This record gives sequence, C-alpha cells and structure tokens, in this order.
Amino acid sequence: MRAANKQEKIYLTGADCFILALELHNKHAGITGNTCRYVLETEGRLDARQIEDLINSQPALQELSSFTLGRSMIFGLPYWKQGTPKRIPVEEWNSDAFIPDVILERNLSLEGAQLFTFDVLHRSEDRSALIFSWNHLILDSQGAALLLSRILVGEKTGPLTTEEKKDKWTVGGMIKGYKVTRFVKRSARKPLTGDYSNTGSKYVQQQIGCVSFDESETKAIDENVLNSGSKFGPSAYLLTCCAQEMMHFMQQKQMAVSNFWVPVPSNRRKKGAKGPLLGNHLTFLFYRLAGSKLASAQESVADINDQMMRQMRKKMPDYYEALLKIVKRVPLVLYYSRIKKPQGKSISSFLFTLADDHPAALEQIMGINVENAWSFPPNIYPPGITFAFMRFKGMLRVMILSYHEVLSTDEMELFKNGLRQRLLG
Amino acid sequence: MGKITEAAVSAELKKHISDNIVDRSVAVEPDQPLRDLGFDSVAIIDLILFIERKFGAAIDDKDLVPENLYSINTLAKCAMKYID
Repeated sequence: MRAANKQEKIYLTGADCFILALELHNKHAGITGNTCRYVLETEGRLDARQIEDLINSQPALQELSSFTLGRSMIFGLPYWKQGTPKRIPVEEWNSDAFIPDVILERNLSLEGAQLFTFDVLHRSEDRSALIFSWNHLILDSQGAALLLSRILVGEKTGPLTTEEKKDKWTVGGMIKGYKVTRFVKRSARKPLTGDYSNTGSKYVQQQIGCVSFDESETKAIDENVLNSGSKFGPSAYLLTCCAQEMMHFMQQKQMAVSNFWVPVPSNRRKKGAKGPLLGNHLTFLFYRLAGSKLASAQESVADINDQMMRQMRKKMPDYYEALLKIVKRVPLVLYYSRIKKPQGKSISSFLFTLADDHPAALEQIMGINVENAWSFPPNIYPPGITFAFMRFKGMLRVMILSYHEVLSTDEMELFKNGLRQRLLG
Repeated sequence: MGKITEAAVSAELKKHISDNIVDRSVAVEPDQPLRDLGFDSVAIIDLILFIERKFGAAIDDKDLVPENLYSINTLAKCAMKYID
C-alpha cells in the first residue's frame, strides 16, 4: 500500500469537494454530518477487545486515523494532511436495537476528534453486530468495504491514494463544465417535488428502515427487472419503484406531485479495483422522472433507459467529473449555493444509490459467520429520504433512511411494506 | 479494408474492457458473464457506445436484451448483424 509521506498534502478529489459542500447543507439542517455506516450482523458473539487490537494493528487504519483536513494558502484548496495516528476505540453496547440512537446521532464532523468509529453491539441469543461509522469525506462506500476487508480479514487491497494529476483549468474543461451545467439546469427545471418536512424543526432526528429479501424473492425481483424492460441492469427498475412509492406516499398525504429529480452516483473506480481507499471516486447521472410516466413501471423504465443512454452518449458523467474538478477552487459557500440552486431548499427529490455487493471476503469476522450486512449512505436533509440497495450473498437488501420530521414511525413501516410489495410486483 | 469478423469484434471488445473498464488485475474472458466482471448499467452502455464508435454499428433497441448483453461473445455476435 502506498503510504503518504508525513508532509505530503493529498488534495481532495472533485467528488470530495462536492461532499464537503454538502456538509454545509447538513449544518443548516442541524443534522449530524455526512455520516455513513456499515453494519455487519454476526451469528456469534464478537469480542470487542480482540477487534480493537486487530484493527489498531493495521497500518491502513493507522494511516487513515492520522488524517486531518487542511487548506492551502492559495484558493483555500482543501487537502488531507497526515499527523500522528490515533488509537481507534471499539465501544461496546448491550442492545437489541438495530443501531442505537447514541450511535445514530453521533456527530462525526470534520472538526471533531475522529472521522470514523467502531461499535460492537451485544444482542440477545449470543448475536452481535459490528457497526463502522465514518464521515463520507474520508471514504466512499466501496472504499469502506475495501478497508473493512483489509483490516478485519487481511484481504489484499490496493493503494490508499492514487497519484492524481494536478487538475488544471483548461478551455476544454471549461466547455465540458458549461455543457454539463446547462444540462443539469434543464434536467432540474421546475416544477419539482422535494420538500416533505412536517415540522420545520431546527433539530432533526434520524430513522432507518431495512427491507431484506431471501433468495427466491430476489429471483422474483430480478425477473421483474427484466419484465419491466430494465435491460442495462436493475437500477432503472429499482429507481422506478422508489419513485412510485414516493408518489404513493405523497398522494396519501395529499401533497402535490409534479416531477422527481434524482442524481444517481456512479463509481469511477475500475471494476474489480481494490483501491484507492481514501476519498470519493464518484460522478453522477441525473434523472428527471415525470409524475405522469410513473403510473406504468414499463413506461418509467423506458424513460430512464433513454435518459441513461442519452447522458452516456453525450459523456455527461465524464463532463460532470470535469466540472467537479474545476469547481473545487470555488469558495465553499458559493459552491454550496450552486448545488442548492436546482430546487432551492432541497438538493434533490430524494436520493438513490445502488451499492456494490457485500464482499465475499467479509462473510466471517474472526471465525464468526456474518449473517447479514447493510451499507448506509448519508441521508442529506432536505430532502431527507434516501434509498440504498445492495446484495448480501446474492440477496437484495434495501435501506431506507429518513428523519422523523419527514416520515413518522408508522409511515416508515408503511413505506417499507409498500416498497417491498412494489419490488416483488 | 478486409471484412470484419466476429472474432475481431470480440477481440476489440475485450481490449476496450481491459483498457478502460476493469482493473488491470482482472482477467477478462470472452465467454465470461459481464455481470461477473462487475458490470453495471453505465459499463454496459459504454460497451454499446464503443461498438457504435468503433464499427459504426448502432444496435437496435429490440436487440438490447439480456441474452445479447450477457458476455463479450454474445455482444459481438449481436453486433455482427449491424456491421456491413
């Protein structure tokens, strides 16, 4: 693994700066940062002290624990600087909660002492869960899965960082940036839905819902994917089901439904790459889902396929990545105001992500079987509703993230059941 | 220029995938399911657009079905219908 020199500055990627700008959005809403989580549920009891010793003996974790955020004198460009490694404690809890509130509300802000934490939950019947929480700026979901595979089971991974070419302002880059900005403006034109807040409270409290499918149910969903015409992969069908469920929820609450606008992240690492671990390596595709087309899954899927193809043909994911590299020199507050522009208060109608499959290497921790795994992205508020999909041992998992200000506990249950039925067709 | 063969299309697809889509540590086989290589929708479309650019063959929507998008070889066979 390539280690950073003590004095070396590792400049943030364009996607990192986008995540950094979102920190401001979270602060305005009073939520606890850009926090992601990976939950590994085990069949046997985990020994927190053994895990603590194991992870702290790993150079990759030591190195990551030493990073703090700095800013250059010119342009204030953000970068990671390496200091002294910190010992990462593993906290222990006796709880049958999926994620106890004390962990869910923990603030892993960039100004805080730690950008990631580990917790072991001891549950009844000798079961446990290991919860890895981290600030999205330091790792994306694939980076986190790679890191866990490395530090928990010694899986060989790639470099911590890559030697990125210095991003320069070029005319070509500016033209790409202009084209993609024009495209996003058009795609995100009003009217759009995106504000579901019930209370307008300054403090918002998170809640999560999990939906799991067994082998035969996953097979049925895969057949629905094909029958819907989602020919390039499952994402068009899954996105359609989420939008349909959102529409149903809004109609139940007698909220006006217009169009949904959803940016969907796309991983820029090469397939099968084991690194880099540090930072975010993402670009986005943007979908405008017309409320009028959502009545039919086939019609909506065809529309998403078409939008996907058109954006790829025009190289929009490449252009957006180029834009992110350019705008990282823009002052953060200005950058943030640009991100918010499409919808005013909310950055999108909801958030959607299809994460990589849970790595096969992580099916055991210290000889104990992992019986379930969940990867939670951060939930940006507003809009405050995120849908994340992944597979564990080939079986589909859906994670719904929200806030009590958006969905009540009862509404979350209805949402989970509704989405489950909709996916199963 | 000689007639383009299915084997040549398959070889070009394999090279494009190795150079641009998968990590260099990943071995690419023409009969391997693309899903096993970690292909997502973006990577599939990239491959379809590569065929358009390289061979001038725009595959019709009706042929963009899972059986044709299964592996390099199935895609090459499908592309041949559109290559003069």
